[in-house]
Amino acid sequence: MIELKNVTKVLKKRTVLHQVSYQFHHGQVYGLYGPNGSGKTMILRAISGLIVPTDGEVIIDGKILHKDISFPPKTGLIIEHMELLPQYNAMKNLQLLADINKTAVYNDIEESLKRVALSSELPVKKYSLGMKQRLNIAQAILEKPDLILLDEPANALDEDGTKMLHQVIQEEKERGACIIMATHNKSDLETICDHVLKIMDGNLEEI
Amino acid sequence: MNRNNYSKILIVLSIVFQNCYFHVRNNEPYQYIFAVGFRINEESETVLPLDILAICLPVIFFIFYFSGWYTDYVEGYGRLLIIRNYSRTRMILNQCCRMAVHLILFQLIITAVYHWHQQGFTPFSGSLLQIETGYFITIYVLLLFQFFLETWMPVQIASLITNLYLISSVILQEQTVSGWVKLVFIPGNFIGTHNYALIPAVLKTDIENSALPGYPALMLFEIAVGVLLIIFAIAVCRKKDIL
Repeated sequence: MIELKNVTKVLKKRTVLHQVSYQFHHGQVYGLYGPNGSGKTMILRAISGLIVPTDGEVIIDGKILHKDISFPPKTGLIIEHMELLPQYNAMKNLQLLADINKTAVYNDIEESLKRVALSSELPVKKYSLGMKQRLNIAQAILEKPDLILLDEPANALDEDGTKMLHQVIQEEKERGACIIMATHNKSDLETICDHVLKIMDGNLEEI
Repeated sequence: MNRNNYSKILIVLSIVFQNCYFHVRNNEPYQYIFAVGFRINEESETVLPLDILAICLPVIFFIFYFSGWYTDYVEGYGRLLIIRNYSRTRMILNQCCRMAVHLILFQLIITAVYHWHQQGFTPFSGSLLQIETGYFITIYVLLLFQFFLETWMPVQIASLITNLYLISSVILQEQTVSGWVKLVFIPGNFIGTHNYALIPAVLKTDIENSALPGYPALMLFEIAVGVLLIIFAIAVCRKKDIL
């Protein structure tokens, strides 16, 4: 279980998250919905350990972030401005990431590329935006994470890519992962999310 | 070819250029002059500004090579690495260890170049191990300084400040033998005649009669500073947002 307990974040004197409390459970898909600048990305960053809350706690399976652990273990992440190495192709990029914790082998890499329908031998610098996003999705699911955080994952995806994304999310949910997705795409919320959370000016509520 | 490969080539070129420069410039220079420093004769041989730049040259390229070693982990692709490391502390310690290993490799290269091209150089009587250790510890502390600066300022500013610190330290230590200069302007101590791994004969009596810190005390002080820099870097990193 991932729990946000009165999480507040102030950035440059602006409150971006205001006493946010919620519990996320494994095997569920959560959609964060809200206008630009409402705090969707900040919630994902708070849960992933990339930002340190000004107040409150983020608790991952009983462990407090930034006290007991720095980052939640076994997490797949897609956030903005996250680029893979442009000089390598998809396979090499995923191999380098898999080598860090050695939790994924060659077959896992092949499988994740197959699931996102990406088979190019080209270096990433020659990819279209849609191909890069597919590769981002592949790296997020590569190591069979327990927690998957997706910030606007359907960006740059065509119709087939969006269907692929929905299928991948469904499969990961059935595997037991907790998936938290920030999106302003209503069809994503209606199609695949078990819970829709609206965020406005740093305040969170379930709708 | 990525940035690191360009940097490695520049480091090798700077070492070769330095070696050639001192071969042409000095009559009977010290062997391994890159770590030993300028020979002080009784006729008070002048140290030119170009000599200062030449002796600092490989170090400037080391600073360039190691710039971004913190920032690369907290921006862009680095975020994929840091969340897989599970621990900010472990990430910092891994990077510091990798920096030490890379610096040792560069130091072996520069020593090999000077060992090969030593014809006509005057051998010194000091201990090569002491001189190389003083060089490594001081340069490593300088790189840790840059690494720490990157935790709270842009990488270009950190690199610029580190370079200025290096050059000003070497210049000051050429001008004065004051004890406090050695403790504050640490980078100048990479030179053997500054950290007293090698004491020139003309200064031996003055140094022995003074209250200046000797080689062992200076090295211990630098190691303590290095450890503190790592601790401070970890402390800042643990509190900092990775946006």
